[in-house]
This record gives sequence, C-alpha cells and structure tokens, in this order.
Amino acid sequence: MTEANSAWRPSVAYFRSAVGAVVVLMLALIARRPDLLVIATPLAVVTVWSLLTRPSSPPTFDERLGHSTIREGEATTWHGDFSGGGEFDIAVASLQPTRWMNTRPSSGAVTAAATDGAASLAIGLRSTRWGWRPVETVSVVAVSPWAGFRWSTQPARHHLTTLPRPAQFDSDSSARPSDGLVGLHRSARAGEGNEFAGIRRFRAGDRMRRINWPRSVRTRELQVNSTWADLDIHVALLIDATDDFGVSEGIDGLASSLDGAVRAAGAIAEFYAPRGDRVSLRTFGSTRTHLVRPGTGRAQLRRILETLARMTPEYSARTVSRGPIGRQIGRLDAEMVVMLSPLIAPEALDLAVDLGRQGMMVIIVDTLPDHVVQDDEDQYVGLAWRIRLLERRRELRMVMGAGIPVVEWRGPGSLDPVIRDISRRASGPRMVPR
Amino acid sequence: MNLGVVADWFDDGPRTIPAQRWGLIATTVAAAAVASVLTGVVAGRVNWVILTLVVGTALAAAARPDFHTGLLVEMILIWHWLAATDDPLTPLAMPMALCMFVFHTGVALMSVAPMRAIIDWTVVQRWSMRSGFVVIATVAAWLLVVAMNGRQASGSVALTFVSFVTLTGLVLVARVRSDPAR
Repeated sequence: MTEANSAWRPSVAYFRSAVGAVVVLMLALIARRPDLLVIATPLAVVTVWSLLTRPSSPPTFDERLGHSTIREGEATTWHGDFSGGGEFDIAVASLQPTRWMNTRPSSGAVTAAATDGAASLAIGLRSTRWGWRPVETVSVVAVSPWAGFRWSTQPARHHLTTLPRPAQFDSDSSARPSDGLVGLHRSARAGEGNEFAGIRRFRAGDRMRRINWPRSVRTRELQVNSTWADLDIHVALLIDATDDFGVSEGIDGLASSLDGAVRAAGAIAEFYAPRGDRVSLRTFGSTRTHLVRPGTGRAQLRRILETLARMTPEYSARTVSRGPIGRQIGRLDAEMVVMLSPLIAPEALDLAVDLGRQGMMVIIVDTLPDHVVQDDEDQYVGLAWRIRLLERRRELRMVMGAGIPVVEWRGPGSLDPVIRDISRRASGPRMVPR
Repeated sequence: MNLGVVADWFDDGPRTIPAQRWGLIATTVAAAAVASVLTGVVAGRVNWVILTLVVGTALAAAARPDFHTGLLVEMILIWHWLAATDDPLTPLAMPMALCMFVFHTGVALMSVAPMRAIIDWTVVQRWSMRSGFVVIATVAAWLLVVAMNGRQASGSVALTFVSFVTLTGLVLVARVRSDPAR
C-alpha cells in the first residue's frame, strides 16, 4: 500500500485561472470596463470552485500486479485503487512503454472518474517474450475538480517473470534405459513394470496379482506373468547462451536463436518431466551459469521454465573469463544430452564432441534462425554471415562425422529419428575410452 | 523545450493520439480563435496577425497543456479585447468569456492525462454539466452589468464588482449544497 507522502499541490490550470481572473478583474476596475468583469466571471468561478473543493487530505493509494509469473502471450493486470482521498475528481495512471509488453488500452494510460473519494484503475499487461524483467514505472495522478489541485505518486516497479511458452513437442521413440527402477521406458531387465515379458514359474516373493490362473490350471503349477521393469531416463538439457542471434519479436513474431533454444528446451522438459523421466538443465555462456539438478514431475518443469526465463546471453560480459565450458557445466550423468545451440561459437561443438566421446547420447538441436542472414541493411554484414555459415557447415559435417546428430527444431517428432537411431546403436557393444 | 521531445512528438504523436484528444485540441484552439475573431467583430476589423498569434500559441498550449502557454493565450486575448474594443455593454462579452472558459477548461482537461490517454467519458460529462453553472454565472454577470448601467448607479464598476462577487458566491454555495459529490 502506498500511503500518500505528498500533499495536494496547485496545478498549472489553477494558476492560470487564478492569475487570469485577478488580472482581468484588476483591469476592469482600473480601466472602468464592466465588460471585463463578464469576461473574468468564468475564470473567477473556476478559481473559487477549485479552492472550495480542494481535498483536505492526501488519498490512500493501493496498487498491485495481478500475477508475478505468467507465460509468454498471457496477460495480467495492474490494479490501482484510491480510497479515502476526500473528494477528488479524476484518477489517472500511465505506464511507460515496456519492451515486449503490450498494454490494454494500447496507450498504457487509463483514467477514471472518482466517486466519493474512491476510484479504481486497471491496465492490462500482456508479455510477449520470456524473461525476468521489471514492468516500467506507473505514474499515478489524482486531480480535484477543474484540475485545480493535483496529487501524484510513482509506485515501485514490479518484476514480472514470463515463462517461455514451450513449442509443440512429442516423441514416440524410447531412449536408452538407465539403471533406475521408475519411469516409462522398458528396462533391459525383467522386473516390476507394465510391459509383458513372458510367463514363468512362480517364485517366492512374486505378487499374487501376477499369477496367470488359466496357465496355472493347465500346467498344474503356479505360473506368473513376468514383465520388463519400467525405467526412467535422465534427459540433460544444455543451452548455449553465448549469444543471441537474429531478431526477437516476441511470441507473435520472429524468434531469435535464444528464443528458439528456450522454447524448445521448455517443450522437451514439458514432454519428459511429467511422464516421470528426470530432466536437468544447464546453461553455458550466459551471464551466470544456471543449473537445475535432475528431477521429475510438474514441480521440476516449473523450476526449469523459471530458470530458462532468467537466462540472459553473455553479450558484453564475454571478456570475463570463467574457465572452460566443460568446467562450467560440471559433470553430466545423463542418458540423453540435448544441446540447444546456434552453433556459432566453436566451444559448443567441442563440448558436444567431448560428451559424445564420454559415451553419452548427445543430440544437437540447431537453433540458428533462418532470418539471421536476411539482413539487407548492410551488405558486408550479410557477406560476413554467409562466410561464417559456410565455415559452420564444414564444422557441422565434422561433428556429424564424429557420430553426433545435428537436427533442426521442427516441433513434434523433431528428435524421433535420431533417438531411434542412437538407441539402436546403443544396444550394441560400444567402445569407450578409458 | 527539448527539441528531441518535439521531434519525437512529430514522429509518433499523430499515430498514437486518440481521436478524443484530437477533438479536445480542435475545440480548444477553435475557442481561442473564435475569441480573437469576436474581438475583431466588436472592434470592426479582424486583426489577422493577432489571430495567427493566438492560434499558434493555442496550438502550443494544446501540445503541452502542463506549461504556462495557456496563460499567455489568455493574456493576449484580454489585451486585444481591452485595446480594440470600447463598448462596455456589448453582449459579445458573453461569448468572449465563454470562449476563454472553453479554452481554459480544455487545456486543463488535457493536462490531466498524457496525450495518448483516452479520458473517461464520465469525466467529460461531469465537466460539461459543471460548465452549465459557469455559463449561468456568466450570463447573470452580464445581466447585472446591464442592469446596473441602466439604473445609472454611481460607481457602477465598483458596485458591479461587489455584485459579481456576491453572485459568484451564491452560485457556488448553491452548487455545492445541491450536489455533495460535485
């Protein structure tokens, strides 16, 4: 609650009417011109009216933001309520334009007529890009009748967390199982699960509900249905936040490389985490390294999305040396590593190759947007980009030659072919350097 | 005034200003222009230089209503009236007063909210209804001036001034007591 800390002050309008009335009345008396009295009448009435209706005490102003966390494209409302402010006339709230924030009304300014010293103001806010950023300052003004006196305040800025709206994603392929005993993926071993493995003789410890009664009757000994154990996998999401390439126009327009990475990571996490698979998140190249330890469920998804929202690319902080990327991300113990990167910085490719050599299933999702080379403003920039992309193509061929698939993000089923391919390869013997 | 602000206004202003604000600007500038023309009518000749000056300063006042440019417009209009006319009983003093009132009120209303804001119609209606009392007071003041002049009262200006103050007070008291919400 914002208690008024300023008093009602005379406005420019009050000054104008008062000075105008006094000057004209004086002229009327000095020049003996009664017609000037008529001309001065409206200004004098307004001045006296303003004085008689001047609010005696400052109002109490209470303001709040409807939600502190929303998703891209969703909206919340800023509310401001005046109360106990004497008899003021109009309340006005004006929000400074905020990047990646649409307002309703589009002007960001609302007015309300006060009734019995109370007025309510509301500005709709729609966030169009993920991130953690402040809502710009709202200037709040209350004025007395005829705008004679004015009271104003500027409440503290609110911070709004905008979670990325994950892209569409699903997958039909099962990744290589882990050693855990929960999850949806079929284990290489028999155990408690849902997927039928075969029928065998009853052993001590088998559950009664597993007994296959028709088979037991036929064979005259107890037989049970055996199943494959259900296992989970650990999907490690690695995000390259070294830089943000391309134009970001929010949820309704073009997406930059970091937009693509964040939304794709959100989509993968939203697919795997609620199913019981463990998902972790690590970033490298951002202003600070973000880490979400492996976990599962909706709460883990929420943690991941909130961490993604707080990510900022390194940009100018690039000169700050924080050591090799491998040290930044720490030790990964995952069955599937999904690296989301525009693949412009060579460190990302080196890291992917290193992880692949450690025997991990690494998939690189290329997030470089197509529009990055459509910069018509500067032909030299366009030329530089084309040269860099040619080099990048060669680097990608080398990475793929090392057995690391690079895929473009296309939403549902983007990762299916590579997951199937890698799972098939993983079922055979592998050579791992010791 | 910061020239960058002016440049920004010309770049973005016309697109972001709602129709209601354009209407207020037009009304305000027109009121000032009509006041200047009325002075010319009473004087027998419209002074185009003064009219241009009034329109220009009125536009500036409408563009930045929180500045004192509006007071300058009013002073120009009063000085012009005082200098160009010599009929103390002209009924055109009433429309002149009301034009100045419309100008003042329009600028005051615009100063309440940013240029891009749409002012709640309830506010506009409330201000319009209040203006009725001001119109009544203005007409009453003119009638009083004429009546006092017809009675050939000695010291008519001083007497009229006292009457005017009394009348204004009565109107305000009646208004305040009749509607506590004002």
